[in-house]
Amino acid sequence: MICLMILRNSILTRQGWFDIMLDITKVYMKNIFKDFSFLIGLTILFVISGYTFFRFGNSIEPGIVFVVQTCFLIIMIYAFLQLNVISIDLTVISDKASGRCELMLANKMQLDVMIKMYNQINFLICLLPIIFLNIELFFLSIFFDIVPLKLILFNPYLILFYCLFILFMYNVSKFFIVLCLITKKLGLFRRTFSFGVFLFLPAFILIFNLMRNLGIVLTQNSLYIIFIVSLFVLNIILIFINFTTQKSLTKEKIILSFKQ
Amino acid sequence: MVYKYSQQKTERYSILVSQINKTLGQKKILKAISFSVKPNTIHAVIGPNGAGKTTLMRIILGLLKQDSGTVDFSNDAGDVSAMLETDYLFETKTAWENLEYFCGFFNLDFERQKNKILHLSKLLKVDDSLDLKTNYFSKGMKRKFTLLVTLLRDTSIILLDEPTSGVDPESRLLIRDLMFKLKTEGKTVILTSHDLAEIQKCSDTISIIQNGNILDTIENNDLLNDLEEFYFNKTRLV
Repeated sequence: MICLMILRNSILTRQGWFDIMLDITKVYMKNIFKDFSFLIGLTILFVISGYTFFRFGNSIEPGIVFVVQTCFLIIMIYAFLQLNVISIDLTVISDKASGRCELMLANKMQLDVMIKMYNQINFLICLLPIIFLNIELFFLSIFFDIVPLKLILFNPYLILFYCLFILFMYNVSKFFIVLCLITKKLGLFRRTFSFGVFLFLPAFILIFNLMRNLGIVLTQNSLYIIFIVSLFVLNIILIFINFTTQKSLTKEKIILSFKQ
Repeated sequence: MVYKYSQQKTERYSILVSQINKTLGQKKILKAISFSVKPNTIHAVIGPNGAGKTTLMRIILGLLKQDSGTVDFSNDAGDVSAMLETDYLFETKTAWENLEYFCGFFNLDFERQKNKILHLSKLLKVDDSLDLKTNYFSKGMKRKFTLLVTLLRDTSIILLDEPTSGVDPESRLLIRDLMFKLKTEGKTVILTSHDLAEIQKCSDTISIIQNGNILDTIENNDLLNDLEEFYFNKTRLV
């Protein structure tokens, strides 16, 4: 729903933009979905996620449900961040390093159109595999009767989580795109971004293991509420940051960040 | 950036650059640069590395904002296309795929551009390489395809930054012939290059830039001697 609203908003704000974007998006998506590293990443994501939940079986102990729910939420966020690293690398970083960004701006592409183009590409590239991952988990839970997974997937809070998560994906993509466009040190940005995402998984696992060791077992709803509130706050912060950075962003800032 | 449209000022010129100043950081890159380019001509901007050529190009293209001065166009400011110094082709894609991608960037219908692409690629003698991946291309081939990408938009003003850099003599001749062809079609070409012999062969007017100043703007036909000799005489005097 939010996804459709974003697309609809894009159509309304710039007449004809959607047509242009769709062509470029198709071209980029064709390019990225054929990329070997991206395909390997996707395969690993689907196999590991499926296997992780499959091995939990049909126990409905609160401890197990808590672990499954934590895994589910972490995998969703981690999968998005990992896909975002690859897609930003293959689009914005690659275009900026090769000079295509400058070419587009030199050939009269508007700055806001360029940002929207990258945002749409990265958002869709991350969104589609996440949708397929969710479909995979739904089918797994039904066909193999994975009860803890069913309990999580058929929880009404999940809808709210998905809505905020989709908005979060959109905002995070935009944030990193703008950051990538103005950074003077592309190599450092790429390494820090990849390393930060790599650290996300062990850091989260560490926190939840600590909670378990301390005997803190949250109920399904309370864990969802923690994630929903966190995503809501993060979305507000990201919207504010994106709004202020995009307002102050000029072609000159981007051009001067290129290697001279 | 203010692109003023002035009928009186620009009716005789495609581009009129007046008193452009630009400082980046602490360094003054351009100092009161002024020159004009007549329509349907090839105008060259030459100068040593760091003279301010690329900054000047970027200001004309609207990528950088000048501190003061104006850039006036006889037509719409958007009627300018540019070929930059880097070869920005997608390395793992074929030339055809690249051209399809760039048509997408420029909001052009790829199917409608196919005849034009074939025609231009024949002129540049790269038509038999359209199905090859660009990472197998030589520097010269990449440059020719980059030029082809630039010409897709079919604008009346074309800015070429080092079009013959790393290009073999035969390809230079093809690029030169293409520039003459563009001129006969009524287009205005502005180019930068370090290849003075090539500049002398193809340009109508030449501006020499050094340390952010235009040292001289000359008509190529008025040159009595070799451009290289003239260039060194000018730049040594400063």
